[in-house]
Amino acid sequence: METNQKVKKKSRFREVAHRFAQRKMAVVGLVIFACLLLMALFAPMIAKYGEDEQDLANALAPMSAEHPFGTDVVGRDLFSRIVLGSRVSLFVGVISVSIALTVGGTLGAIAGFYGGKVDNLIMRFFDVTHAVPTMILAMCICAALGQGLFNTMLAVGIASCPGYARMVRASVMSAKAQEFVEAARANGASDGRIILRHILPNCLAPIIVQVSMGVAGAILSAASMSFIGLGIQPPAAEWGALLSGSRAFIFNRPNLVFFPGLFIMLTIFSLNLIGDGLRDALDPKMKR
Amino acid sequence: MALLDIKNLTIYYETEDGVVKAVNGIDLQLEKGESLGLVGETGAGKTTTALGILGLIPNPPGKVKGGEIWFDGQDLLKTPEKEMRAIRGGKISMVFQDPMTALNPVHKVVDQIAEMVLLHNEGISKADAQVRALQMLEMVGIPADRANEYPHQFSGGMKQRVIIAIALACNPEMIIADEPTTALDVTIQAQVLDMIRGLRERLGTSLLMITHDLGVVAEICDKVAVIYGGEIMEYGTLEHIYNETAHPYTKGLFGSLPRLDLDVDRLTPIQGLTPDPTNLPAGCPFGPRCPQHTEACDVKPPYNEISPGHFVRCMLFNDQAINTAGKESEE
Repeated sequence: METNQKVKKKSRFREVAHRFAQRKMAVVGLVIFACLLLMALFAPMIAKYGEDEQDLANALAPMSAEHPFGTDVVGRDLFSRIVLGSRVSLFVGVISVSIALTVGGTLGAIAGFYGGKVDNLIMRFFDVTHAVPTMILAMCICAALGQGLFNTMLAVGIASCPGYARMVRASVMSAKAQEFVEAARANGASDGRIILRHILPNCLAPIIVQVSMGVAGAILSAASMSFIGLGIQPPAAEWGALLSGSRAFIFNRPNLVFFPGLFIMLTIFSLNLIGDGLRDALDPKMKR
Repeated sequence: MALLDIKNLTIYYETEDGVVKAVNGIDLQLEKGESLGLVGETGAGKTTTALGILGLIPNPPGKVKGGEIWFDGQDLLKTPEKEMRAIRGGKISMVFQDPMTALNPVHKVVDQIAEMVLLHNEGISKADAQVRALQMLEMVGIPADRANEYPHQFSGGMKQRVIIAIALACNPEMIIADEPTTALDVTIQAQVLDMIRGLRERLGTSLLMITHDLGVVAEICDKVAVIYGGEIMEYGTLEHIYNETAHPYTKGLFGSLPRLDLDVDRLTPIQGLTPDPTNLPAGCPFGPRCPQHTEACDVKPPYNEISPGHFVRCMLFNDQAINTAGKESEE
């Protein structure tokens, strides 16, 4: 009866990391995203030119050794601007999704778990906000709060809350109907413990997918905001702003549109790969 | 005093389509260390009774309309939710019917047992809880080297063992087992029943076994309560129920079992269906299906003690009653 055997326990983190590492595409995604993060971290060292260093004589220059991605209409080096802009774009994407997930996800989980009046109250409120298009709502919030990086993130975050609330609520509702939740209750677990330990871990798959897509959406939303003059203001570099600002030159200088788009795409792509890999790694049934 | 003493428990589900009278005035006693089988068909109110004891009737629509549930000198129906949480799992734990879904798929089995230990032992360290969990696993016959696996890597019988290990982890005084073997195949059923019986004898835990299988009851219970339409129809020791069967419903249940010692060509099922709990008969709930139905059955039959410790709710035994006062005299 005596169990002298030491509990040989691989930590959960190490186990998930191990399973994640076995998925090639997920690792590729992680490498790309890590490169982007490093680029953002060491941006001032990588960029040869300043954010708003103009060289009018060299405006709309094609790609060259001096200007790897070319220059824009006032002769600013596109490569430097993309590198410097990565700080803003990645930050906006991650933070606004965090805001949306924290606020929307928590309220959605409460609504789904308790149901009834609480559910009605929270979800009808989100229905009302959902009736206004996300962009318009974000614009309103931004207009009310004023411009700036933080307000943009807040606006985009709040505006995308209803989507997260809905998604979390739906998965919580399906998870809470399962017998192990009733078993947990019969074992004396409190509501908070049931939600955090038993229900949410079973809802991770849709949440991770939504988050990895959401970061991309948030970057684009922030870009549109700066395009209409409510978000981050020029001359500050930001990928979305670079993209939309160069639309006029799409035919004679496609590189001006191509490169900012490429970086947005790389971010989204790597996040999706990571999200996919993470979802599989966190699901014990996928263990081989 | 009995460990568990249910008096006149009445539970209704108030739905839009009418009031479902799931449990109608049940009296039950369970002594310390004893095991009681609660036998009945689907919809007789077995699971509702069990959930009622733990205070887990989903409300709405469920509602405890009356009665008392005394456990260890405490009326569970009047106990605040916070104390109830300590009782659930700590003093009374429950084994669920379907082992496939009663374990959380995303946690390792050892963690799920340890969680129960952590919940009910304040101040215990995580490492100690793990050690306790491993002991529990070995006790139910699962080697410790499988402790770090997930539920889907276990077979049905092993999962049910894990669930029993969780239920026993905090040394509860009573276990409610809700059809613990229904989802298992017959050989595994026998193993799990053997294990339950062995552990119960060793630990002295009381058991309330909910089942529709009279064979299971004969194997591990000391006393039997036959429930129908939310009422106890017959209550007694194994001898009373199996050898001195009194109630026509209990007789009907035995008649519908195949037997090895009798050569019968056809089983005799009970005619008809279980009554609609939104619309129970006014008199004896079994009346409309009873082969010995008389006009007298249109009023509620009393709960008569026909021999010491053997109670029957049937008009046929009205004149054989040794004590019509009911169960109060039993203690």
